[in-house]
Amino acid sequence: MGHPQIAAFARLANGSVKPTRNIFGQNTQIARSIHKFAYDPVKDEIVVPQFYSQEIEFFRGGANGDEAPVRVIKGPDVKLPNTDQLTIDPVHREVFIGVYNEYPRREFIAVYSLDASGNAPPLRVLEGPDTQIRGGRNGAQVAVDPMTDRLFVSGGGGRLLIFNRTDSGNAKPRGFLRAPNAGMGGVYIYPEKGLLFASVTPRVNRQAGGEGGGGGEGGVTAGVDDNRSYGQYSENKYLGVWSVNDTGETEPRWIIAAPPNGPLRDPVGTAVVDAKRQDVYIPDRYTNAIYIYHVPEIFN
Amino acid sequence: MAKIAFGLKKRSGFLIVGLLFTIAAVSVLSGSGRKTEATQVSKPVGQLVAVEPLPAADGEICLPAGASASTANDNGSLFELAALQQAPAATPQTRAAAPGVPSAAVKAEVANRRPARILKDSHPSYSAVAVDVTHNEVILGAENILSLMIHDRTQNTPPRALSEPKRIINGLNTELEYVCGVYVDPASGDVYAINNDTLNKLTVFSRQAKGNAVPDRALEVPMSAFGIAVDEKDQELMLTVEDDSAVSTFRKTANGSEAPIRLLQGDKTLLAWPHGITHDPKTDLIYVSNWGSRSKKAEPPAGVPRVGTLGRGFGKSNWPLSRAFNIPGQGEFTPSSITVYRRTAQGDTAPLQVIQGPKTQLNWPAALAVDPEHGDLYVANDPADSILVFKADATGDVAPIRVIAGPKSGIKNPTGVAVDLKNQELWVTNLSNHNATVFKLTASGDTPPIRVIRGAPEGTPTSTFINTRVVFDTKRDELLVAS
Repeated sequence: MGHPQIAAFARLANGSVKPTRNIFGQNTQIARSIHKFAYDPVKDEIVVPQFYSQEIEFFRGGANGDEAPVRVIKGPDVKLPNTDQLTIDPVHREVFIGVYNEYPRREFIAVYSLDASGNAPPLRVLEGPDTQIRGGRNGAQVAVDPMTDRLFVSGGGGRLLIFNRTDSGNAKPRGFLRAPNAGMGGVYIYPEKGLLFASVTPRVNRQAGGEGGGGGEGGVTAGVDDNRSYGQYSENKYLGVWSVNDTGETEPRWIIAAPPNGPLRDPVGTAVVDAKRQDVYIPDRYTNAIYIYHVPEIFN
Repeated sequence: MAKIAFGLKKRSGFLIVGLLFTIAAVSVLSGSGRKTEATQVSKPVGQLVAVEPLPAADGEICLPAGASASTANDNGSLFELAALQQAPAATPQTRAAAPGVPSAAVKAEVANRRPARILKDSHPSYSAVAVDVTHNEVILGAENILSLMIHDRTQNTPPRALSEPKRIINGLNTELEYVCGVYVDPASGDVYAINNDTLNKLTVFSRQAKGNAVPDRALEVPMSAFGIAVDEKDQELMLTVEDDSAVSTFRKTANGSEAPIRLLQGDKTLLAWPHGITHDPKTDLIYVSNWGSRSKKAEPPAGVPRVGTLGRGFGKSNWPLSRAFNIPGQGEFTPSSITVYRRTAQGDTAPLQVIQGPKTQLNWPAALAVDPEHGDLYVANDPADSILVFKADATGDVAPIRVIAGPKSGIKNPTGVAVDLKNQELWVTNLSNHNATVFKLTASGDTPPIRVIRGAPEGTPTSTFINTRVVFDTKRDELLVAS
């Protein structure tokens, strides 16, 4: 891509509009491609993973232009070979990183203090065969619900494994969530209402050979569409909405952008909500667009 | 607006409410086929304070010290305000309400609803350029619309108009996505296109290709290949690989899963998040632009196959060692640079020249183009909105001999640059202006272009995002879009 950036757009932006500000340039130390990032409303900071420099960067909430991060978590004690998949828990002040390492083969979740800086070791690490974490080569996707203390992690086969937020070591998941005959990716949790949003890829022409390791970039819809090369789109994708309390093979309570008329082709990113306006923002990689749905029913 | 209650006094009450809600949830969901961990619906958690939504506009919010009013009032996020209020020994909280189960009719209505808004730039933003002087065509990569656009080289479009392309190559069959590097064969007019990031293909199209054409050739290349340079004399094709800080060299006619014939990678190379690459046929040197960020890697032990990023190139010789072999904690930043090597350099070979330092003005230098006749090196200096020109033998912290930049030049986030020696012209793609601009090869300073190819009328705003991820900044009511 041309260059990595974090661009800000007015809430009501529509069509092709200029960003109100744009964070990019060598002083920012950001890297391509940012597959997951977060906004911390408590400290008014933007939290960005950087997989080249193996660090977690924190920018001022109002950062603009070629502006350096205000702090980074980085160093040998951080023990991050890769930094790609990220989520934060602003309540318990934690940042979760889904990590994949080729050799030795490791997949784990490392948890750091959201207020840490410098060469800070992880608070805990969730790793081991019993965890069943299987997110693919960009690391497992991870989402956290601070209100039920649940941690959702990619588990292969399009499943989301459910852990206790504070689980560490070789802990077994307490359950899983999966859309029937489909895979889930791009997980976002809106804790206030207990809503879990995920992009859904119906299983098609599945070939033999196990559950696969992680689809493509971002570990999206792991193990689904095995006969499609990553990058190809599907007209069957949509955004599903569950309760964070749902488990097992469970239909979503709500569907947004349903096929065949829905515009989504490859919604690899995580949807987010503007709860005040009851809007849901869905980025789509293939159409290179962000679709904004007004869905008050889901929030009421 | 909602009224928020904080504190210990609400704890027992909320637990009771939570218990009642749990019972209700079990009752509603039982028999529906839905599986719910009902006992967890209202599980208290340790660090939060209580939240109680009340009818709108019936009270004021008591803000904690340090919390801005806008945080509470403008976004309505009770959760965030609760987070602001948290104390080390704060009280448990229950969710005010759990999501319900809609009727089939309501669910269907929501599922089929159209988006209220769509944030999208439908006009092409040009990322890369190559000039076919034999056929008087210019090839533009338009990464935001996953296309190649071929225009007449001499086309010049007034500010309020759009340039009509001669051909567009676009569609699923083309295997084109984020086109960041293009090359045109000077003899045949074949077009080579690099897909950055999402598709692991270098695709080659004949001059006749248009529309949803199947590529004549498709070569599997490392993840995040960005720049392309070709040595016509030795029939070699060189690619920069962003993720792995490497240069991969293939036979020019390589196809399918053919392995690279050479690899330049390692600490001594000073390759650091490389982007642009150009080959000087006169000196047989290659020039590589670096954005300065890299991680150090450990070679796999004997018997462990090499594997590229995202698993590509498994077991292939000369495939770049991927970021999956990164050594934890060894990542580093260096200032942007241009490093120079013999074309045949391989392994962990140090550069012959390094252009780097504050005098160079380099900031995320993207595409490069060399003028072998005059010994000049052209650099698309993206965030600085400039084209830098260095002597090809420059090294160290040296100032450019020329800079093309300024409002008259129209240069805005240049990512592509190409030299047309036959017509003594310089081509620049401006990612944030929907255009490609043509300058005399000797241009300097704030010089207007002599011709412009426009993907949109002048002044049309561009959102410039690609492969997006989003978060919502509740303090500023803004959508943050990462690429």
